[in-house]
Parts: sequence; structure tokens; C-alpha cells
Amino acid sequence: MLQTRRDFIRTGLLALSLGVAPPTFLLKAAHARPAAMERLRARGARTLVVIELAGGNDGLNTVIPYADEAYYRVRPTLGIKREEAHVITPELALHPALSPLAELYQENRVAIVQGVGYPNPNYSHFRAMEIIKSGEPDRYEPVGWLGRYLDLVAQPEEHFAALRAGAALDHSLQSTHTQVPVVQNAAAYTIQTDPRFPGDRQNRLNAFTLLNRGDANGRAFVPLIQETAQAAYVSARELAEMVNGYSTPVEYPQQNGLALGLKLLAQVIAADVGLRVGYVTIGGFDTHANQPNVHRNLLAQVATAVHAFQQDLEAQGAAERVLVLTTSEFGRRVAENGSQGTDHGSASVWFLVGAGVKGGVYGARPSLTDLDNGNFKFTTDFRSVYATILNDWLRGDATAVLGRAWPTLGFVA
Amino acid sequence: MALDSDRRRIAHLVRRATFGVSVAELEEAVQAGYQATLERLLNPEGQADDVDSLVPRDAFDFSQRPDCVRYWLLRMVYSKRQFLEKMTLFWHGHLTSSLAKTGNAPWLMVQQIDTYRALALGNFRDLVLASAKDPAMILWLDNNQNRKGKPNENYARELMELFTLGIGNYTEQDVREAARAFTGWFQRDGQFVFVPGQHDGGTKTVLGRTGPWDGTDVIDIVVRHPACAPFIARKLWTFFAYPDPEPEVIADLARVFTGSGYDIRATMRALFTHPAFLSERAYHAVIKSPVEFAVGFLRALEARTDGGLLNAFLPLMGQVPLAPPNVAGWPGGRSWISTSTLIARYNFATQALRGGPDQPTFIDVAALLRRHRLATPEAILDFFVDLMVDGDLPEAKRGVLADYLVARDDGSPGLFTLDERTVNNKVRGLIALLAATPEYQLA
Repeated sequence: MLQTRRDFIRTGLLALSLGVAPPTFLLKAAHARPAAMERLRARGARTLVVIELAGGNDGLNTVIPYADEAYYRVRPTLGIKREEAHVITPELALHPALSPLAELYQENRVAIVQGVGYPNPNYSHFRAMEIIKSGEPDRYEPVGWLGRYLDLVAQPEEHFAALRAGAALDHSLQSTHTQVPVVQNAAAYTIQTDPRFPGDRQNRLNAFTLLNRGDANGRAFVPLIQETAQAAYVSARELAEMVNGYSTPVEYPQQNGLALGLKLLAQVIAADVGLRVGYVTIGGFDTHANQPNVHRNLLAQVATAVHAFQQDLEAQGAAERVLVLTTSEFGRRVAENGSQGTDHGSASVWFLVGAGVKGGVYGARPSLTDLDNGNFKFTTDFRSVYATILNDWLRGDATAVLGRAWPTLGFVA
Repeated sequence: MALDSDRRRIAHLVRRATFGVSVAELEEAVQAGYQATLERLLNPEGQADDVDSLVPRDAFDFSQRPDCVRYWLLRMVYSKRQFLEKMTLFWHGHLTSSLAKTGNAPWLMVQQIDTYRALALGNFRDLVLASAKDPAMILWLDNNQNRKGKPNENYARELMELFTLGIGNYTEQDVREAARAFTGWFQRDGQFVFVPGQHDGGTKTVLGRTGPWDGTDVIDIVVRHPACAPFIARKLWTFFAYPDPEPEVIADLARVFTGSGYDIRATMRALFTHPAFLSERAYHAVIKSPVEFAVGFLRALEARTDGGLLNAFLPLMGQVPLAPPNVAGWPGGRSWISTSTLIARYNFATQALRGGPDQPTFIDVAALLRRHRLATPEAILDFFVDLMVDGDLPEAKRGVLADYLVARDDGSPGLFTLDERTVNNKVRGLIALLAATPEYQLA
């Protein structure tokens, strides 16, 4: 028995020396952590926060062309009356639920881009999402536009170059070599070990990191899982530190998942560790039926969450370095359907919010009468929005990310 | 290491076709052989199942969403008809519906799963037709508002795009015409009703065929369309075998699907006996879904559970049955893996292993060691590496686990004495670590 045990230990140690790097690297990384975070701190890096309105947001009932009588013809029951909406220009008003955004608009912190789309629009949620997330309408491209940007600029020591608030990585952030932490719930984002045996915790964590490196053994998915596991280990420690260092006087709205996601991003932005991109999704915009209530509730969630986020960024002294973009895979059919709803359509409106925005309305408003099989003809290519952000806000190379130059729109102050 | 023995091939089949098995169940399957095991899986009707007494329906409150979810998860844990539950989960991820649209009637999702289970190994056309008439589906894709003269395209589009043909095989005009065929297909109080006054009986042209089609006609048209069989074959292969299959493999499977008149059981038999299913490329080539990971963990370790832990952790792992993220279901594959979902997987295993006999989830590690006469660290390590990752672990990682088993709190090697503390700390720690290997994430 004793003999066996000794052989057993020897086998273990031998195997370790043959194949797997010793744990010193990780222990060193752990000790060096505060310094590493300190190094990243106070760079004042600019952040883009993308809020995806998933399901296809009805742009026409989000920014309402109240002065165009054709609007009330195509939307006889869903049309929103001028006196209920927040008028922002002689032509346009915001949906009644968007009052917090209307307030920010008056402060010159909101840019509205109209008619955002691309040629030959796709009416499938999933193909349309692939298109706007990859920036590539003509073929399937697994790497996202933000992933390509991160691959160009992010350094390996930036563990929070980007952050996805949610359960799964978004296609936009799929990259070839940049690890993006995905956090659904900051409190649950920690690797637990059995609390009855605190003395064994370090043994387990060391073994865990060693089990997630080295030989893939010919299994195709092992490298992906190992790299993600290492990113989980490191980012969980760093995030806990950031969350501990954060406090806010702002009350985020309750029962609002988007607000939770934005608050998480605010915690990382406040830590100023060089977050370049944050990404959060709110779903439910596929309003085929019963649109009035559903759409009002969703827009209210977006507006109140974004407003609280802006206030929090002010409180953290970070408002100057964060730009918010809202996207959606498509807009909806111009004419309402018979179910108090709207079917899948083409172009929609996108918003930009932040202290760095030159407020106003960008892009031409698509005609309500000159349609393509009942759908809007787009006026502004979504890649022009991306190019403006990449070049003028993130000070990156939009052409390298998007594969060609796109005209920029001037909404960055 | 590969699928180089009958034992390995049978273990591979069982990983794909069930939610995991205990050591004794695997042993039984190995004794029976591959073909007999496969036939037993494919013919659950002949298999006695005590799941209705182990998981009695009247113990659940189906007006509460968490109970609806937990009920099905416990069926996955405890049913003897494992392939039937697995296939039902596949169809749920394909012909999706969600608690998100059933309002205060979440039992409609339980009812839908019952319907899918009854047809899961039957005829695909019947299954699609049943799903089209399913009340939860009608709510999910707004068909209750699909009326004559005021069509709602939601269901018709997803029928073609996601359920039968795939994008590129139909036009926008086909969607608009097909929507008219489903007008008047409503649900009232959890029952399908056809309302003739709301049905558009006029002529429609769908995928080149013109007639006064109703929903049944459209389903017959799309299921028989040449794009349907390869579309379904690819989805089945990706779920049960490996991603990005060779075109020949899909053609083989599609041929069986069409030739059998869309018989699901015959198609699955062809899948599990296809040489490519037993090839090197298939081995440990699929990322377990969270449900497969968590239910499989409990089953392999013969846990006793009330399902509460599953309900608590599956949202963090990224998969809540009855609540897919959208109408396309869970994309699967690499999308299961994120920093967040991996942490949730590790923490689930740690939590499941923490509970004592008085806890709602309990894994009796000491009993496993006794039953399998495991006393030495070598035997213990070999046993759990075989059970959890089919022995498919690089030597260096085996060494890491060996070192862990005997490491003192300060990390130095110590004596291994099989006492209660060692079982609770080290053996349970070993199992938790194995659950955190990349290899364990693979089916």
C-alpha cells in the first residue's frame, strides 16, 4: 500500500514535469494582479456600449414622423398621436415611453440615425442578426465587427478589453484571438470550492488551472474551453475587486434586466481598466401582435435604463468616455397587420447616447409611400454608423475592421 | 484513444442517446452489445418505466413556471426511457415554444412537451402538424391573431425558415401565401380550434404549388419539399454526432428520412449505425448542453435530487428548458461556452457534491466507493476518470489529479487515508475537478 502510494505520487509528479507547465506562472499572475490593474487604471480609455434591441424594433413607432399624414394611413390603429409623443423637431417625435431619452435629447446627448439598413434586406431574424453583427451582408462571417476591432487593438493583458453582460458571447464579439468575459450575474461570477474545506481551496484552484491548459488530445473543442476557463479564472478575481470598489448614488430601475446589465458595465467602467466595448441585449421586440402595450413597456425599459446609466456615469466621472449605441436586426413592415402588430420589415432607427455625442437627427427619413414590397428603402448603411464609431469615437481603423471605407456621419462631437 | 473497443463505442452511443448512465447501467449495455443496446434505446415502448411514480405529476404545481421546468428535468433524471426524453429535448429545441408567451398558463408548455414526447420517434410530418396545432405554439408565434384578410406571418415564416426548409429555400411571397393557409387555426383555453369564419379558403401558391391550401396542405408541401430532408438530417447529425458534417453523410441520412416516409425512429437508427457516427471524428466531438452536463452529472453519480439545484443553476449555465432564447432554439456548439457558463458549470458540480444525506440533492460518494470496492487513490482516480471522461484524459492531467488527491493544505504531498474527511474533501474535490476539465464538457 505504502509502495503503491509512493509510485502513485511519483507518477503524478513525473506527469506534471513532462507535460504541464508548473503553477508558478499562475501564482505569479495572481500576486501581480493589483499592479496589473493599476497599470490599466486611469487611462481614461473610451468605451462603446452596445444595446441590442433584439427581435426587430419598430423604428416607425419609436421615432414618429407625426407631420407626415401617410404615417397615420399606414398605422390606422397603432399610429401614435402627436400630442402624446415627445416632439423633438418639426417633423419628428419620440414615443411617449421615451421621455427620459427626450430629456437627454434636449441636453444634446442623443443622436438619432434614420433609415438604417443595407441593400437586399433579409427578413429572417437570424440571418439579419448575422449581417448586422458581422458587418457582412453577402456571406456568412463568424467573426463579429467588434471582435475584429478587438483583435486589432486589444493586448493579451487586457482581461476586460470587452465585456458581454449576459449568458452567452454575442456574435458581434466573436473574435479570432480576443477573450471576452461574459457575465450574467456579478455575484455568481466566482469559482466556488467547498466551504467546509477552506484549506484545500488553493489546491483545487491550482489543479483547476492546470487541468485547463496544455494538450488538446486531438479534441477539437478543448482549446476553446481551456482558453475560456483561464479567462474565467482571471476575470472572476478582477471583477470581484471592481465590484467591491464601486458604489453609486443612482437608483437603477427594478425589474429591468437591461438596467442590471448596464449597471454591471458601469462597475467596470468606473474601475477604469480600459474597457473598450460593453454589450448588452434586451429582447422581445418581435411585435407581431398586441404591439401597443408590449412596445411601450420595452421602450420604457430601454429609456429608464439608459437614463440611469447616464446618471451613474456622471456620478462616476466617466460620462465623457462612454458612448451608447442601440441596434436592432431590422425594423418592421410599414403597414400594420391585422393583429395590432407589425411583421418583419427592413430599415430601422438607431440611437447614440452620451456626452460625446453631437445631438440631432442623421440620415434621411425613408419615404412612407415609395416602398419596396411594403418595406422601407433604407437610406443609411449600418456600416456608416460603425465606421463613425470606429474612427471618430474609438479612434480605430474602420477600414481595417469593415474591409472598406464607409462615409462617416458626424454624430461624434 | 478513440472508439477502439465495443465498450467505448457503447459508451459513446449512450453519451449521445441518453442523459448519462451509472456504472452498472453501462456494464449492462456492454453485456448486451451495441445493436441490442441501440434497439432498446430506439424502442422505449418495450421498456418498463417507473418515472410516473418517482416523479408523480400531482407533486407539481403547473401554474408555476419553475415547477413546469423542474418536472421535466426530473423526468430526464429518472426516466428509464432515456432516448425518448433526449429526443423530446431535441424536438423542443427545434419546434420551439416558450413559457415567455404562455402567460399565466405555463402548463401549456408541459402539455406541448407531452405531445412532442408522444410523437418524438414517430413520423416527422405528424409531429410538425401536431406542433402547428399546439396551443403553446399558437401563442408563441401569434397564430391566434392570424385571421382571414389580416394574415399574421409569424408562424408561416418560422415553419419554413426554422422548422422544415432553412433560409434560401422559400421566398417572401411563399411566407405571405402560407400565412393565409394557417388563418383560423386558433387555440382556446388550451385546445386547438379551427374557426372557419376566420379561415381564408382562397387559392394560394406555396413553393410553386397552387390550390385552396389549408395548414395541413402547407405542412405536406414543406415536408415533401427536397430541402426539408437534408435540413432535418443536418440538424440531427449536428446534435447527435458532430458539427459541420460531410455532405455525403447528410445525403445518406436524408435518403433514409425520405425513403422511410419521414420516420424518425428509422432515421435515428441510420444515424447511430452510420460508420461516421463511430469514426474518430465523432469521439468527444460535441459540447454538452447545460442540461446534458447537469442531468448527466447527477445520473452518472447516482444522485438523489428534487431538481431544485438544476432549476437554480441552469439559467446561469445558459439553458432553461421550456424557455429557449428565441424561436431558433439554443444555437448549441461553441455558444454553450462562455466564462460565465463555465463558472456556473463548475459551481453546480461543487454545490451538488456539498450536500449531505439531509439535503435535497445528495451524492453518496462513500456508497459508490464501497459498492465498487475502491480504497486506493489509484483505484479511485481510475474509476472516476473512466466514469466521467471515458478515460480520455492526457497523462499530465491525470498526474495533476493524482497530486491533488494526496496534497496537504500547504500543497505538499501527504498520506492518503480513506477516512470520512478524505472522502468528503478529496474524493468529492476530485469529482468536482473532473467536472471542471475541458474533457468533461464534451459528449
